[in-house]
Amino acid sequence: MVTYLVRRLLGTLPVLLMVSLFVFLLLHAAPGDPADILIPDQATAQDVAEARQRWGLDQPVMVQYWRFLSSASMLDFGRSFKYDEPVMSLILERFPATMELALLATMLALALGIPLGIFAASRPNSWFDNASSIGGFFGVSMPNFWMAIMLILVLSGYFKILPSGGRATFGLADDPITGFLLLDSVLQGNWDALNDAAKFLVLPAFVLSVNMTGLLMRMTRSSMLEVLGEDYIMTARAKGLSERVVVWKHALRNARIIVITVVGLEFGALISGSIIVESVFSWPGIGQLLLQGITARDYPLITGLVLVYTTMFIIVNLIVDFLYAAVDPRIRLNG
Amino acid sequence: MPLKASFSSLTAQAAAIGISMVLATSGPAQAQQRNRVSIAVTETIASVNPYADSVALMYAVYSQTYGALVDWSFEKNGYISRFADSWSNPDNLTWRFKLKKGLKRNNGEPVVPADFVHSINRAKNDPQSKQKHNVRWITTVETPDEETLIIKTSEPVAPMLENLSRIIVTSKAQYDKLGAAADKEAPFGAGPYAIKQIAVDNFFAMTKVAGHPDVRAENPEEVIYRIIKEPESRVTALLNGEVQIAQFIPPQLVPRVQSSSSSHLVWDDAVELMFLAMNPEFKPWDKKEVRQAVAHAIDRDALIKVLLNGQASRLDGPIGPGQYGYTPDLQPRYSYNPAKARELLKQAGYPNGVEIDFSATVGRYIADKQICEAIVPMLEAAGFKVNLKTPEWGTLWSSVQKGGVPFYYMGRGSVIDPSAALSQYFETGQSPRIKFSNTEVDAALKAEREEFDDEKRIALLRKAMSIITDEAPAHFLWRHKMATGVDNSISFKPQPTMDIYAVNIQMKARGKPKQ
Amino acid sequence: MAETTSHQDPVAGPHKGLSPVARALRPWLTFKALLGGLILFSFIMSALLAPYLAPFDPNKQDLMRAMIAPQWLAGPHVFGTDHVGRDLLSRLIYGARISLSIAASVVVISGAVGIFLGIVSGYFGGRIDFLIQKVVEMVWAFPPLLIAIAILAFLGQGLGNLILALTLQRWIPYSRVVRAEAMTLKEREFVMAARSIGASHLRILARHLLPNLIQSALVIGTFAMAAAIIAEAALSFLGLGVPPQIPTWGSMLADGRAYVSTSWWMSLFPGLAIFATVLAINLLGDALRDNLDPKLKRKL
Repeated sequence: MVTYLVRRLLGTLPVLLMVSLFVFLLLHAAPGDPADILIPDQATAQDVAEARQRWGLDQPVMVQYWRFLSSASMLDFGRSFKYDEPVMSLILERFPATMELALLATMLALALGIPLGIFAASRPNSWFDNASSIGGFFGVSMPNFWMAIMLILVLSGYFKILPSGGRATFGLADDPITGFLLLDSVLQGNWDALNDAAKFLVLPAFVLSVNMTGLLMRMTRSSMLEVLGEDYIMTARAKGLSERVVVWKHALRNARIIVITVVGLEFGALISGSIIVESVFSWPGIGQLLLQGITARDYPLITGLVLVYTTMFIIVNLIVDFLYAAVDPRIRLNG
Repeated sequence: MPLKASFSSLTAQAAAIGISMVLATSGPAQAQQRNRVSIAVTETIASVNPYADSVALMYAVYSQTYGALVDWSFEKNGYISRFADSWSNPDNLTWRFKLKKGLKRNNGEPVVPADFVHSINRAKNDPQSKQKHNVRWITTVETPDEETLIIKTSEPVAPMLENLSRIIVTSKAQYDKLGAAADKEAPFGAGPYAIKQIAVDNFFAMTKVAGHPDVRAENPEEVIYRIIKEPESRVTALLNGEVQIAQFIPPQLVPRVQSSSSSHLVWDDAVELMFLAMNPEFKPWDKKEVRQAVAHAIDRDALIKVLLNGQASRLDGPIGPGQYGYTPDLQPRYSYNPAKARELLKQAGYPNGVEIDFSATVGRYIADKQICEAIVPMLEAAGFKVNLKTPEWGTLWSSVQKGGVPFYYMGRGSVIDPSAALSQYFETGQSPRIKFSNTEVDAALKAEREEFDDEKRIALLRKAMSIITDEAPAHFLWRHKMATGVDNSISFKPQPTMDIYAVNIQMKARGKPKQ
Repeated sequence: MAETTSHQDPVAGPHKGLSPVARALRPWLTFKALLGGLILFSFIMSALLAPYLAPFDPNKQDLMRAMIAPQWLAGPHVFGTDHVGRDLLSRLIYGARISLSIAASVVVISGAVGIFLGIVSGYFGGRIDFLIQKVVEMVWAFPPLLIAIAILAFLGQGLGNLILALTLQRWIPYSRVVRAEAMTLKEREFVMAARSIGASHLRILARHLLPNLIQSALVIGTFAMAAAIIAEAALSFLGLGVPPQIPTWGSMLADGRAYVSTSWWMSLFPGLAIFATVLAINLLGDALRDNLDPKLKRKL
């Protein structure tokens, strides 16, 4: 167990190294020069040249990479070109917003997707099965921006029960502790701020959860259907166990591995921040930061973000593998 | 079963949140402070350092918090200053300001002449500065006594006040004490509003300075600029009462605001010029006739009517009413005339038409891709074969600045005095964006910069603009009419620059509750 | 099996004398399978026969007829027109060409890569699994937008390059899910049994694992398909899609974004086209399971 963990963590370093190299090459290969983009329209050619020099862009790519590596080895990932702040503090400042959204979206998806999938599987081809499938397909077929704008128009424009965007009403929350507004307001006992933050979270979290809900629903359904025809289920049924026990105890066991995988995959995608949802809802998370970074060709910022993503994905995969072993004793941790 | 257990706890949590929401609908958010005005804006906030931004939004918020050396007044049609009583040019390299006495920052600290030197130095030398271009001609700054500020330039720059209107006046004392942290911890200015909180790329909050000579009782106590990029969200937030002013309502959403009972629209012509640039370094743009053919091929009125819903004013020449040096009599003018366009192409030696690449911006300006799509058949009717390209902004802009794009749709903002914009795009040796070169234009633009007499300067500017229009390295299209949505509980007068100044916002008498 | 179509058995008797072809086709003649087949067939046909079916030239603009609401059967523009007066139905018909190609290639290519890597990773485990998962972690972290910018800038704006950009990461969900399935399946009795009688790895993978994985892969596939078409919309929104002269469902969605609340038809119809495609694939997928279910086969 410990050796396994050590080995997995050691495997992380080469991955991060490779990723940073690829990102570096990709960024320098991509067209667009950060100095051209970031230095204002009215600036002189000299201003642009100075900026390029200050950012080290006048050096050969490999020299720049080497500089990056040597400071990164001291956990200094450079300063953003655009914001001129340490990259990691920029990312950490916005990360809680994205994480809070991702967690809530995942909870919503679990709470909706799995039960719907189970009911659908236990009554295949019923009207419920068909309706939930069709709803799910509609959800994944309409783009996020469409769903987001529709919900804003209806719930916040027409019914006026939810705010149209942003993360909190200015001035309600106390100084942040963790940066997670729900958690902070509970810790501080600031119930107004809790209500407020919850209201701002609902719509973006729902929109983000749609894809995961649909996928979980279909996956749960299909993996349960696979099992419901198996011999041991037949046996269980023949033994006179109630359908509920059959479904919950036996069939769902098989679905768990798939559910864990899907949640891992989708949660991984969510914590890298959604550019579209965050910008429609003016959510100050890392998805918007990434978009700003890419548009401005903010090399250090993008590199920092990609390294953070990689680390998070490695952690997610590690947790997923542990969960496999915990859920199904036949699966051994290896590697 | 562990899974089942975790589920029900999740469901419980979700339910708890749901309940809290229901309770919250009548909560404090609704009872928002009545003296707060929120403004939905679209530009970015890159830093708490006032010198690290160069977007109109931030110049505007800093000029009403810290204060700028001078400000353009559309009412007076000239420059005013909260720091100086008057200014003069002893010679055409010198700007002498007579500073006001007894000015204080909102923490009570006096504004001293050294602050101006310090501020110009920061614009020039702060590693984060994105405002170096504003001070590029300044060689020395002197403060011989408590009420005199002397700025010397390396060459005569008649439009220098426009640059000085971008000088944000910060405190030397605070900077000496706190260093870069002063911007965050001691952002004390001399403007009518005080900085309360800046959240990078999120919002900017400021409060009214009690007793400041520029503020009145009707001005809001607290003003928050919130970045809301999505137009539908901006409009919804306005109609909802979440914000009281929403910038840049796109043409298709104008009816939504117009039909609302809680809000109205205010209009102004933007000072951004929209144009098609034709780089003569590339064929066929080396031929003047081809460039003029483009000018005749495009039906600007139809584009304005359909795609912009009438919300733009056609430009005949580089600038329009309200901009420095404008005259309705500028010649030549281009009519929509496809037959003439074909004729010109023929004269240029392309009787069978010519293939061109046309680069559009996507999502940068109002309806930009749509406009460019609609321009394509117009050009084709004149004999061009058009490949429409839609590069991502970073790719396009970087390439434009290196002179690598032959033919593109673009805007140039913040043009009150056209001197800088004209020089940047059309003077030989300036930015390579168009690579147009014409000795007469160069001479006129240089002479205009050195001419301190308004009348003579305007004549020179008009001469340059007339040649540029005739040579057509760029075909000027229009200025957008910008719609700003305003809640009926306040009154607000916009500026053509689209900057929103809190002192221009008045809270109306209370009483009738909203909705 | 609860899932099998129940009306099959009672009528099975009298048809015993049918030809083998007819007997093979019979199970497919269910309502779901027919509906799915019909939708997909008509989309493919409209893509192939677009020049004959489309009522208008999809690129013909008419500013005077911009943003006409759907006229249904009362006028020439059944689904209305877009912001520059192009006929929406014609663009949808032509758009099926590119969008279905994008969807099919992305799904097939990334599906093949992902299933292969996933099955190998899950079945063999150990060092192979470790390496493949490291590759997953590496590729996964790259922002798709950045990849698209780099690829399209390098190789040019075009369909093939767009498909390349969209495929580069989309094999990951397949590989992760298939890996998970393979990890459980390889411990199951029937695989153990096959191994004990000396079946080769290849045989076990192809005959015992693969058929059992197809279900999950199919679910991932249908979601990936919708995601690929929508991803094209996101890229179009930044100017990174296929060249603007070529109509696609994705670029139509992107065009419609600014008009969601005012000209709803511009984004709704392309969305519904994607929805119908996803639905059709799923209906066919269900039919496929009903007919090819390995457990059913094993019991026979």
